[in-house]
Amino acid sequence: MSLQEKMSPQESLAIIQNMIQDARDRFSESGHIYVFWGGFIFILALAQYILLQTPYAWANYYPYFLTPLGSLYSARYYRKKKPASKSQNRISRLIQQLWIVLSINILILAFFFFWALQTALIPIILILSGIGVIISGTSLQERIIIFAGIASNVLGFLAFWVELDTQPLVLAIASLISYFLPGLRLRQQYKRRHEV
Amino acid sequence: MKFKSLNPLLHSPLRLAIMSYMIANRKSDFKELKEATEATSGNLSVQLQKLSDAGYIDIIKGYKNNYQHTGVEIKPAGVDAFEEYVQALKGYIDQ
Repeated sequence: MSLQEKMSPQESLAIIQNMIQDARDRFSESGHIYVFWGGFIFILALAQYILLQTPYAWANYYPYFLTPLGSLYSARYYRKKKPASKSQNRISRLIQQLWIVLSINILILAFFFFWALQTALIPIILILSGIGVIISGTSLQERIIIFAGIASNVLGFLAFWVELDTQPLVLAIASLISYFLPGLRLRQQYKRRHEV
Repeated sequence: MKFKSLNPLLHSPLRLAIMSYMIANRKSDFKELKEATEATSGNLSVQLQKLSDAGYIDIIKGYKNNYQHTGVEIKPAGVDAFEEYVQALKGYIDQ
């Protein structure tokens, strides 16, 4: 039997589809980290907003001191995930590097340049993270993430017109729209794909 | 007869799996391909060599973190051959 007779066109197509899906799954996001950051930032931003409405407004930025805990959790999550996952490919490495660079820049802006940026801080954070989400979505070929990134980007620009007291509310809404909800959708898709 | 116009080099399960994976990734390595295709090292080596001899892929042997590393890259001829194969396949499926 020659090689040509070993496979039907349908079998060939199935191999192509499976391998391309496998390649995609290797850098496919389970959505967990999006849900985590979406929920985490939502709580922190909401806490800031509530503090701003109380006599403790002076401590409004205190909740953000918990951000490094979130970073630690992310680092631990990826470290734990790594041995279980198959070898990383170029795209997953690129996305990881992109988020490391973006996160460092956002943390530096938030902790060391707050005095200079003031009302521009939250809009800039939303714009920067929006760019990251759009690029991640494009690389993963996930339309829902691309739209989430665009939403974060647009909300970032809109936030320039919002008062400082209300900006945390924009951040809370953006974290829900741009991270939490797409994360849930990704998780659902990921589970469905891995059940088959 | 029916499959005559399908490229025989690609019309083999393992070689097709390798090429499909390479189309999606462009660059990969032996370890990653072994995991993705679940092939044995020996079989994978043989099939990679065949694809390399046909000019579809480049096999780059070197060292990474003091360990031997075999990188694999798809070549433009490999992309063209894969596209032609898929086109031919569509013809059969559409029939």
